[in-house]
Amino acid sequence: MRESSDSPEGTTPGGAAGRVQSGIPRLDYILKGGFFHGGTYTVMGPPGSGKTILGNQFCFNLASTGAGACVYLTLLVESYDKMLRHLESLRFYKPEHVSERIVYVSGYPALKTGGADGLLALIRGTLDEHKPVIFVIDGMESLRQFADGEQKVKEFVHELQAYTAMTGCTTLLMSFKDPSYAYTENAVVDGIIELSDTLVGPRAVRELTVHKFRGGDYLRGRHEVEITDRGIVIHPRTEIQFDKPPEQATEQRIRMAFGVKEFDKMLFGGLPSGSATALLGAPGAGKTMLGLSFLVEGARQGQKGVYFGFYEPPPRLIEKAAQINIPLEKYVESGQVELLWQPPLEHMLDSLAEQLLEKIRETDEPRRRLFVDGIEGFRAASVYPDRMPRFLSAFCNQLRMSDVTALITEELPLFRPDIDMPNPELANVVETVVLLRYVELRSQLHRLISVMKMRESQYDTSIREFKITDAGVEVAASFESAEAILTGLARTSPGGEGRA
Amino acid sequence: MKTVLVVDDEFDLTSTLKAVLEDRGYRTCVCATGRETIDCLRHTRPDLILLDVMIPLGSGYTVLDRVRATADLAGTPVVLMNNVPPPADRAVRWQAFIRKPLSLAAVVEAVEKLIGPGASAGREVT
Repeated sequence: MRESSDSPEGTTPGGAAGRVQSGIPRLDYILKGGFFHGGTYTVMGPPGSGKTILGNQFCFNLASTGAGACVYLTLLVESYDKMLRHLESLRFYKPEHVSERIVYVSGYPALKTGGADGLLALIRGTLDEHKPVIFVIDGMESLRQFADGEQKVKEFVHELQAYTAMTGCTTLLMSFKDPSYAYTENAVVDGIIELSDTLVGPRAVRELTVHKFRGGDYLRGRHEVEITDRGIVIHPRTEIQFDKPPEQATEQRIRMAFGVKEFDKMLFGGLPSGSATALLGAPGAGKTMLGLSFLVEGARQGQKGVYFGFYEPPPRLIEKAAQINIPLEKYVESGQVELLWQPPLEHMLDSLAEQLLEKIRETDEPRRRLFVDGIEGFRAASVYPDRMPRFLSAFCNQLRMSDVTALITEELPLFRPDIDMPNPELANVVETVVLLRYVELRSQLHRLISVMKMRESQYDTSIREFKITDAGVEVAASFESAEAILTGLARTSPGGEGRA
Repeated sequence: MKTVLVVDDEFDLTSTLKAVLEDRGYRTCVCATGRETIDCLRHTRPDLILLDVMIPLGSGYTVLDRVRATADLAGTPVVLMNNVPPPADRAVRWQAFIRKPLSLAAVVEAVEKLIGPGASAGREVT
C-alpha cells in the first residue's frame, strides 16, 4: 500500500492551487486536492473515531514538508501531554517537530476565565505569534459549555473564520458529535467531515463522510477508515472512485490461453485479453488448479501474473501445484507470478480492492493476468452487501483499463444439484462465465467443464469432462465422455482404467 | 515563605502543581501565557520559576530571555518543562529541565534542590 495520499492517478505533491494537502492517505483524494488555504472545517465524531489522530497527523505531515508552522489548541481539561504520549506510537510522530514546528497550547484557562471572547483573544495572539499554516482546535464541545448560548458559539466560529481566512490559515474545529446539539455553527464553516465508529453486527466499523465542502467537488458518501501505526488511512469507496470509466479499452485484443489444450480450443485460443471471467464451481471442483494453470501459462509466455486469494497460503499453493506438475514455484521465484495471500480474517472491501489495484498499477506492462480466488472473500469484507454489484462493475472496469485479464472464482454450494450464483451480479459484469461441476454416477464423482457465456466471442458450447491428474489439468477432446456421464451411459475406455 | 511561579497553559497540570507545592509549604502564583507571566514578573519576585516552553502569547524561551535580561530576576532559578528536550544549540540559562509528561517526584525534587524545602517540611503532623 502506498504511503502517500495521492489519488490512484497520482496527483503531484503540493496539491492543487490554493490547497493544503493533509498527507493523510487518500483524504486529499476524497477532497480532490486537499483543504483550501484559509478554510475552516468542522471534524466531528464520537470518542475513538480518530479526530485527534487526524488533526495531529495533518500537523506532523505538514511539519515534515517544512511548509510552515502548525498550532494545535486544546480546549479539553486534560493535559495534551497525555495526548502526545499516545501519539508516540504512531509513525508520523516526530518529536523534533514538537514545540518547533508544531506548537501545542491549551485554551482551557482562557476559556474558563474569559469565555468565548477571552479564547478568541488568546487565539488571535497565538496565531499572530506563530503564523501557522494549520490551526487545530480540539474539544469544541468545551466552548459550548462556557459560551453563553448557541448564538455565541456561532459568532465565535464566524469571527474566527473571518480572522483565519484573512491570514490564510486552514482551521480544523474538532468536535464531539452530540445528537442533542443543533450545530448551527456548521452553517458558516467551509466544510464538514464526519468520522464515525459504529457496530455492524459484531464488527466495529470506522467511516469518514464529507457532508459539505465549499468551493470544490469531493467523493460523496461513506469511506472506510483504518487506524494503524501509520495513523488514519482512508479507503474511498471503489465504485465512486471509478464512476466514470472510459468507454472502451484501447488495446488490440489477443487470446490468453490456459495451457490446457482442449480447453483452449473450446475458447478458440483462450480468454480475450483485458476481459474478466467468472470461474464457478463447488469446493474441490478444480477452480484453483485451473486458475494457477492460467497464471503459469501466462508466465511461460512472458506475461506477468498475480494471484490474489484468501484461503491457501503461498507455500500450500506451490505445493498443491507441484503435486499436479504445475511449475508455479519456478515462476514465483523468477518474479513472473506474484502470490498475494489475504488470511481469511476481518478485511475491508475497499482496502482489498486498493491493495490489488495498487499492485496492478506498480507496472504498466501489457497483457498481465490476474487470478482472484475467490470473490466471496470480497463479499465477506463488505459491510453493505448491496454495494457488491456496483463494486464489482467498477473493479472489473479498472482491471480492463489496465489491460489485465482477470479470472475470478465464485464458490457454488457443494451439495446442491441446481446452480445458483451467490453473486448473480458477477455474471453480469464479466465477459465470460466458465462452470465446473460434479456429476455423480455409479458411486463415482466426475468433473465437467463448460463455457456458459463468452461475450462477443466464439466458443465451444459443449460440456466436457475435466480431470486433475498427476500430469496436470486435462479436458477431454470431445463431448462424448461428458455425454456418457450425463446420460448414464458411461463405459470403460479402451485400454484405460475402469470408468463409470 | 518561598514563592514558586508556575507557568503552564494546562489547567489540570497547574492545578495539581499548585496544590502539591502549597501542601509542601511554598507560596505559588500561576500564569497561563507568556504575556501574563511577563506582566506578573513586573511586581512579583518569585524564588523559582517552573516554566513550560509551549505556552501561548510568548513562548517559555521568550519569558526566559526577559527574566535573564531583568537585573533583579537574572539570578532566579528556572526549571524548564517541555515534551521534548531543549535544542542543543540553545545557551544553557536554566537550572533544570524536566521532560513532560511530568513526574511529580521530579518536580518536587528539582524545586527542593534549587531553593530548599518549603515551610511545612519537617513539621510534625499533630
